[in-house]
Amino acid sequence: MGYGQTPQFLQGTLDLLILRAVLRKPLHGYAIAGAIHTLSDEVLTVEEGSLYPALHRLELAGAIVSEWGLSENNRRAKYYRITRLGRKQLGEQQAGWDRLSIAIGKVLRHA
Amino acid sequence: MRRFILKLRKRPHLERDLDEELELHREMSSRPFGHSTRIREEARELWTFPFIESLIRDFRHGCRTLAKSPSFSLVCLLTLSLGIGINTAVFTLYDSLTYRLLPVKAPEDLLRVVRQSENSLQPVTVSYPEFQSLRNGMDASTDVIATSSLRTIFTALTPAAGIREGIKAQFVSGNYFSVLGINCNPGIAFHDGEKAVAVVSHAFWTRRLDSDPTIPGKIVNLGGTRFTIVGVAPEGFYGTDLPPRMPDLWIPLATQSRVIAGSDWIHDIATRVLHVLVRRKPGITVNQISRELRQIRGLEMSRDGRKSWLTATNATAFQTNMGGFRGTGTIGLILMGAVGVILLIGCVNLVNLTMSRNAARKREIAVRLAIGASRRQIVQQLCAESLVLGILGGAIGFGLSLLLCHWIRVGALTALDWISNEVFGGFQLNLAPDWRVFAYTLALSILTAALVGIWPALASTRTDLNSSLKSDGLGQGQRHLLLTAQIAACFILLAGAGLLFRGAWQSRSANPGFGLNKILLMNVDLTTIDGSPDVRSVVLGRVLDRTRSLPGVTSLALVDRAPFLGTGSGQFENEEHKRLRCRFNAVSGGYFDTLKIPILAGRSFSQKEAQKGDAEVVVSEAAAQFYWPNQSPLGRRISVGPQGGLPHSSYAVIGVAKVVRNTFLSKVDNYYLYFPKPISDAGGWVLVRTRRSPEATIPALRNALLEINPALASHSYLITLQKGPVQIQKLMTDIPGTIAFLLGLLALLLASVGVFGVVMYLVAQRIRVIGIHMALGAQRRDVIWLVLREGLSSVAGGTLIGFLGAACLSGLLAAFAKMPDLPDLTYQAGVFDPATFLIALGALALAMAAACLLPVYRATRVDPVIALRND
Repeated sequence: MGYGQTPQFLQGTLDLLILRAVLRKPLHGYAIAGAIHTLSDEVLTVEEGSLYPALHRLELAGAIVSEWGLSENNRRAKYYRITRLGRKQLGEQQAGWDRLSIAIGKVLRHA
Repeated sequence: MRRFILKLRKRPHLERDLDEELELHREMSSRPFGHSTRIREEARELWTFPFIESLIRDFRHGCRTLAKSPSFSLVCLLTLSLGIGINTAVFTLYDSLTYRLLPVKAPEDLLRVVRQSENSLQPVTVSYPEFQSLRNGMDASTDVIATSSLRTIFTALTPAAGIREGIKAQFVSGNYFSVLGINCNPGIAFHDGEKAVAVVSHAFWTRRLDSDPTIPGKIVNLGGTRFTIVGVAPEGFYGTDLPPRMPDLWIPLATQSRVIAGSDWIHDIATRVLHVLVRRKPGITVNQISRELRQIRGLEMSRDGRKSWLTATNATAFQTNMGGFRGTGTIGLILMGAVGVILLIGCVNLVNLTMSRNAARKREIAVRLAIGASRRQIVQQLCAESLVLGILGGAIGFGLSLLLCHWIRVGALTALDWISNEVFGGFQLNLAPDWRVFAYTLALSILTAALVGIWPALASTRTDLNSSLKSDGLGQGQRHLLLTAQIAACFILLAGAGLLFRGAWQSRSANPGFGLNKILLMNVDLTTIDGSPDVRSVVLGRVLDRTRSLPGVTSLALVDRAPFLGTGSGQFENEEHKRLRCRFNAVSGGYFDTLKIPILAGRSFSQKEAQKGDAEVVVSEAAAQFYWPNQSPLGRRISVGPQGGLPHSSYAVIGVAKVVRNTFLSKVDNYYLYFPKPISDAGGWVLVRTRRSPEATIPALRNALLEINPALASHSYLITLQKGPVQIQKLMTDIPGTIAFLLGLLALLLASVGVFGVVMYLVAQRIRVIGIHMALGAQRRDVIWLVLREGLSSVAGGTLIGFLGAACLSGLLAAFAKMPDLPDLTYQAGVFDPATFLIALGALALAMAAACLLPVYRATRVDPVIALRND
């Protein structure tokens, strides 16, 4: 899937995806982008231009924390770990998203 | 908050971390990488504090631009630091006179017991029995202390040398140090009131006892009693005397009769010499204490014929809310106004200067506005510059004020000490800055910076981009208004300074109408002597007899009030009930001879008449003229109004004396009455005329006093009329005169600098116009006119307004002079003194002309060819 064909992220969905990606274990930026890419069956591609500002925003909001660690190729990398506040946020946002997507699905089916 | 800390923690490594993070991403990614600068910018915006950081950036920028134009910065700094320095110094003086508390523990809880009659507070002294009933009448948990004023006790400090010297001792109640919370080294000073122990002051310990660490336990002989020195008061503790004076030592009140023979304060109810202080407990208000004091029985007092009662007031070092220092606050405020005007003149200069400078930078500003800077950003940046100047100027000014305060303090103390060490020795004037001074300086710096910064900044950014090239940012009207205001303010200050300086000059040669030289004053305070009224008047008689018999003494007089040291005042009427407010004094027969005041008609009291206190009066010439115009006053009668205080109700006129100055050296007392003064237990002042130098008579006189009664000697001081009261009178005009002169000079300097700046700027702006005029054949004279024409109307307007202001000011001074209790600072220069005003005008004109010299010269040197080719 090429550039530009990526579906537009709905407002706030990127945060949700990032939180979901780091839910199980801490990941660095590239890995997060990769995880979203793979988990979405290569439908979603996150640009660096959106990813990093989103990560910083989440960190400032306290949903994730960053710490330096070693990457798989032995380079210093910044790992993002979800916090308790982040888990709570994820739960809330996911519920909201579920409601929204069901609602949208219903509308589309009946149309 | 958490966000703030997180930001603070990560902020320093932001750039590096971000680079590393993105670099890793780029390496791992197979796709082409996006625009990393944008990411960086977005991240920076998230992680930083945009407002604060832009502020810091503006400050940095401000410092850099200021450093780039050193002459501008220097002029600004000089003006601001001078202005702020003088203002801070005056405020420090005002602050320490008005608000400074006593050097004790928790000084805000310490109250003075004072007397209130109607709306005014007066100091009050009570006797020891009265003090006891006061203490018993108060709540038991309230601490009450009593102190005497400073007493001079003559003793030989080093017995071997045998020289007797005067030591200033203060008698205090036994709880003095514990209630004040003063810890005397070593340990507690004295609890038990009966023991003969003494605490020496730190100053005395270092000055006279050579900081001897073994001093506790040493013996000092005071009035024949051996006192053990038990401690040294901490440095900086100068006691509670009013006005603040440092005693040499403190001794228990209970030992008084052993130190000053012939008097017993503890048991004599009539000896009212004790000041009372109260420490309030937490939670108790001043009003509660005052109520308690008022309800105490046996202390209701009616003095001076008016009903009054005891009350409490917060203790400060100078107690400017009552008594003799009451006018200090007003004088301080007037002085603060004057120096405030000077700062304002300076600020106007800087506003002008900054406007011109901003005008020179109009391109820079226009370009920045054009590429998208907001007006707020530019104003903020321009203000940052002036804030840097303001803070720097404030800091330097603060340092300057410390220096000024040091000079004021040294000058004042030296002057007082020179007048009389005995009366003013140990005087304390603490001019160290406190938090109020800091706050004042800071506020002043920021205020001036805002004034100097915001106005020009708004003015120079107000214009739209198009016209910014045409306008200079400051309307001509504004500039003229500033110049006019400046010149008006300067002229008012100059005229005021002229009037006051003239007064100081006049005081040098003021003739009171009688001989000032060779007069010695001695106060005789009989309240310090134990015994019946008869005993006291006998002591006074002996003092007079001994003094008269001393070699070198030609005549003497006993008076109620010495010349220039206060006078009585009251309503008196003649037989036809024509009423007049007169000043009066009670004098003995020798008064007119001793002071050489001519008796114009009739005679003065004989010794016997005075002694008997006959119902006779000597009136001044003007008073006689008022009561009995064109008639002989001799044998007529004057009756005393309801105010009382005099033994008879009606007096026969026996003589007319020439009008002299008696209350103030600066004013003639037209209406003056002299009543006879008998030798009684009331005491008074002894005026002694000597054959040669009055100073030479002092030691003999002092020895005579000591022989007659040591108690009397311990509280009488000897001073020459010329050096004491007359000197104080001269200082009354000298100090305001000198200060006003210096301030006027400063104002003139600042105004000249301002005019110089404006004219210089006008010339620089008009180079092309001047060039065109010259090319068209204008003469040098025309060019000068062209340059000066514009400023001339401002100068004329400013002078006119200043003239009116100065007339108001001198009217105010004249109104002050008319008040009976204030000296005439202008020495009767009147409401309108043309000479002074003309001199002020001349000085102003001269300074303005000097300020215009260089710019005008420059204008006449304009080469039309260069000027026209120039942009």
